[in-house]
Amino acid sequence: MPPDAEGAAVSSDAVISCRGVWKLYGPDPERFLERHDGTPAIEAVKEAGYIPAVVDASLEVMPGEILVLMGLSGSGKSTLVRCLSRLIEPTAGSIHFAGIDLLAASHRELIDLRRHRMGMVFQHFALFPHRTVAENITFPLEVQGVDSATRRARGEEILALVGLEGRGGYYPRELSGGQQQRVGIGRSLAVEPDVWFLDEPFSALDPLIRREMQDEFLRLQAVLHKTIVFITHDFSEAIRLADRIAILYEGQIVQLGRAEDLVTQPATDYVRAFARDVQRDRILTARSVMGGPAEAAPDAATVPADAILRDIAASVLSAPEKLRVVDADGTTVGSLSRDDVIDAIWSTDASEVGDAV
Amino acid sequence: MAAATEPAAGSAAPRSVTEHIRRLRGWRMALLLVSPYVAIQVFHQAAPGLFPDFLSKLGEFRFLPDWANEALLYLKNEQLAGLFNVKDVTRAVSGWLEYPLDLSEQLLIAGEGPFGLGAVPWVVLVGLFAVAGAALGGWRLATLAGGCSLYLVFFDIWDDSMITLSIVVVVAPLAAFFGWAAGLAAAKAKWFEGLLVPVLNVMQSMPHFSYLLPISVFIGIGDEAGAIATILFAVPPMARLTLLGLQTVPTEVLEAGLTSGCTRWQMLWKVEMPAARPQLLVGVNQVLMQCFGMTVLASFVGTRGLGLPLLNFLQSLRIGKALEYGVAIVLMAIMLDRLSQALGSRRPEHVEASTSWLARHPFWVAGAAVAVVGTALARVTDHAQLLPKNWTVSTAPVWEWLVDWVQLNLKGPLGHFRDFMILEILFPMRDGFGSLPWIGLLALVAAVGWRFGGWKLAAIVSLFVAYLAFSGFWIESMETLYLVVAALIVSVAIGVPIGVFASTSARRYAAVQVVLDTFQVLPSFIYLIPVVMLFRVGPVAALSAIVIYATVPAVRYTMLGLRSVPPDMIEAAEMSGCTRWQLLRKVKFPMAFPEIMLGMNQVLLFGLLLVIISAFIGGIDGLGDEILLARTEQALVGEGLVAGFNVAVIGLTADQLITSYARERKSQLGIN
Repeated sequence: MPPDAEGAAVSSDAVISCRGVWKLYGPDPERFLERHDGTPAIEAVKEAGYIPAVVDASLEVMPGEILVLMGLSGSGKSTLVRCLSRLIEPTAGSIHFAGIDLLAASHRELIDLRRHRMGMVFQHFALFPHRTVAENITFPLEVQGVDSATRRARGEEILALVGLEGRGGYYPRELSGGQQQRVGIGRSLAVEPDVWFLDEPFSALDPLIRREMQDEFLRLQAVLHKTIVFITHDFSEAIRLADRIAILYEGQIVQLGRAEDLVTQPATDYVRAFARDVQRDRILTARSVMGGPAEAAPDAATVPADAILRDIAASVLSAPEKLRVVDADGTTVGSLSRDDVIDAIWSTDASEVGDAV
Repeated sequence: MAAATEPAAGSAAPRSVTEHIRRLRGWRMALLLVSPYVAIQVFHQAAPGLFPDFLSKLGEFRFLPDWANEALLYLKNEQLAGLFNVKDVTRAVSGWLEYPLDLSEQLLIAGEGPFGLGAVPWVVLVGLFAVAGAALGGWRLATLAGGCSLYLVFFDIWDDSMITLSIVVVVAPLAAFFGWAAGLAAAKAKWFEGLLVPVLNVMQSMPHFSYLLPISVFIGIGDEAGAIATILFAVPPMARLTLLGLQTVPTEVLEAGLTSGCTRWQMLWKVEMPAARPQLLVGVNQVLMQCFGMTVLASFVGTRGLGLPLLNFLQSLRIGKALEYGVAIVLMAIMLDRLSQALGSRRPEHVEASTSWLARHPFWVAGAAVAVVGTALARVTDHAQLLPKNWTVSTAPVWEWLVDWVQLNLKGPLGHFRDFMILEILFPMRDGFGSLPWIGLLALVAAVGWRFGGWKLAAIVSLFVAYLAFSGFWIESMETLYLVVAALIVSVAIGVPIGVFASTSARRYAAVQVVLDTFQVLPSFIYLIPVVMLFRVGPVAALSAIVIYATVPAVRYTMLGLRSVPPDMIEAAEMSGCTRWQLLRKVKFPMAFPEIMLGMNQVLLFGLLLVIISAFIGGIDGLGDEILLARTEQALVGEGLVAGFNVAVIGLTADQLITSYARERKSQLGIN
């Protein structure tokens, strides 16, 4: 699957779809873009003294998927996600949110969208220190005028959902970092939004807590099936959580695809550098490293094509001969030898792996 | 040094002369910056005949004070745009203030209040202070608040202190509201911020009297005049802190509010205001302290309360009584400060849902109980309503005796010291400053301004000095400046070593901090009392008062600077084998220097304010004298106003130069 950075046709079922979004900082950036027909070269932008925070970004978020925006600090990932919720006004481009033209929405419509369809979690929690945990969680309900009895009931539900039963009366500073972020998550879920934005939600936490919160996040998503845009600077976190990953560099989306695609077919050296240190056995599937179907004996043992190597490594490595790789309906689609697996996991050059197909 | 910090890129491109100059460091730079001044001074001294007089002094220009007088007269007597008369407006405002002022005074002390209620008995008020202390800061604060108010009762200062309090409780909320509104408007509208901030800068560097003088012209003297001046005086810190609080709400918190779907109104009231609460409460504390200090000082325009008797005692040299009133002012200031600070640092804490209303609000219950029991007690015995005179005490005779003893036995040494200071140090210094050609000072500040803030700053500070030269009060300005500079030197010589010493251990640091905090809240003219005891009047007395007052910021900023040196930098120096002295000289001091300079800036501003107040004890010339004259002579109010503005301009010049320097140096050092 080729990287999706260049404009594919707009799928009508995407929850969010943005095309050619730009965010430049500097004097009158709209005029600057117009002068360059909307697509100046990145060098020209810098030359003119503008700071390119987001450069010609296009992506779609499908219902129920977790899209991770991954990049180092200053790569524009936070700016991009704020453009998607119009916390930041993009310089150019179009953004559709559930079919609504977000950039054409009035102030009132925008408030309505945020009140009912968006939730956001922040890196430093952004809790209101003067409100109790329960009051923080039900804040979005309060501002849309929900009565207090309903709020209290919903607050209890959410507290249970995020594992903070009995803490409703506490103030944020009386909680640990992990617990505070649970409150942040609770607040963002209070209105049962369609789309859930998470801006580096676990970056401010200790590694152990971070891991626990990632598990918690996956558990919640298994229950809730939200459409998620998740930001991180941690590639291993991206791989753990993502359905698809967009890698950003200097405001540009350099590659957008599944974790496996990034590892097997990195679009640039920048992506390759990230992919180098990942544990490949957790990402690569049998399909991505297998050889031709003719190479395996017809009666050889089988492994599923979509199994990740980690799960089948033991059986492949202990088998005396090549195994058959079969797809969901039992057709043989390839073969897998010990060498295939060993090369795939310990190879130094990621790009070689894909060539085996 | 400069080459080391600038990598190869700089050396490749040819540099302009200005670039070269900007890269100079240390004494080379200092030498370069003073050279225009030195050249002018040498020319002036060597060839006085050739030096144009108008570049030296412009003493005969008196048009500004005259204009000010005419403007005041016009405002006072004419209809503005044919619609209203300024004097009528100010009279109307003071009329509106009269009602709440009367009300609060009747409630606190005078009796015959509204709804047929008498004055609140002292037992109740003392009890309520203690309960408030307990609620905000536990038993320590309760003891402090209760003890301070008992002092007021038993030293027979109750009536005067309650009059002061009755003014403060009216003006402080008003000042806080106006400041809050101004700060809010500035936070929401960029153009208004651009307008407000310079105005605040000027307002905060004007001496107290600049507020009192025009008010006394339009309103006359009395409580209302003091109240209005106090409100004006206390607005700037609140406006500044509101602006700061609103501007420093974390972006994420704002975004959390927006993504929750807040309207603008909800953003303001449910997100921004609560998030800015800590700064707003610091603002309230400052408003309260400014109001208290100014109300005391407003005795100069006839406002009653603690200040007026103190003023009379000082003028009649009844030091003992003055001291008791001074202590009362100190105690009340500390009490108000600690109570309002405790209010600001309170953090909400969760309570178990099962606890009863009574258990959740113990202090409201206690307060109500105090009120009921105290009122009942006052019905039973008049002693609980108003303490009889023969129950009060006074230590005044002891102090009078002590002062007499000092005057009698230390007259020689003290007199010698005073004479030496005046004849050998202060007068020569004054004459030196007096003979400065204004163009020389202008060249100096312009050079320094250009170095640290470019042409724009150079133009601004040059304009300031030119204003001083043309104001008609050049000599007086220099006479004020010399005393402040002398005080600056002494304050730094005392304050910096104390700051260094205090920073050597956490315990000392904390102890000195407490002392500084206490000094900081005292109304400025308290500092005159001990000084008058020792030196009576004159420049040495004024100098001593300024030094006591201005050493506080010198110590504070030294401590701040030394403490903010990163610990790993100190460890690196220690591992390199630095002795303690080397550590101080080679690492800590260079790092702390910008902060210490900011401290000097504060010393200068503090000194300028107190030098004006010191004029009251007499014997010193300068701007303060002009302002003091204006207080008694209606025809000289214009002169007083211009002189007050000169004080502000001197302060602003120093402030602009020093903060620009500190900003540049800090960014070079990578601090903040």
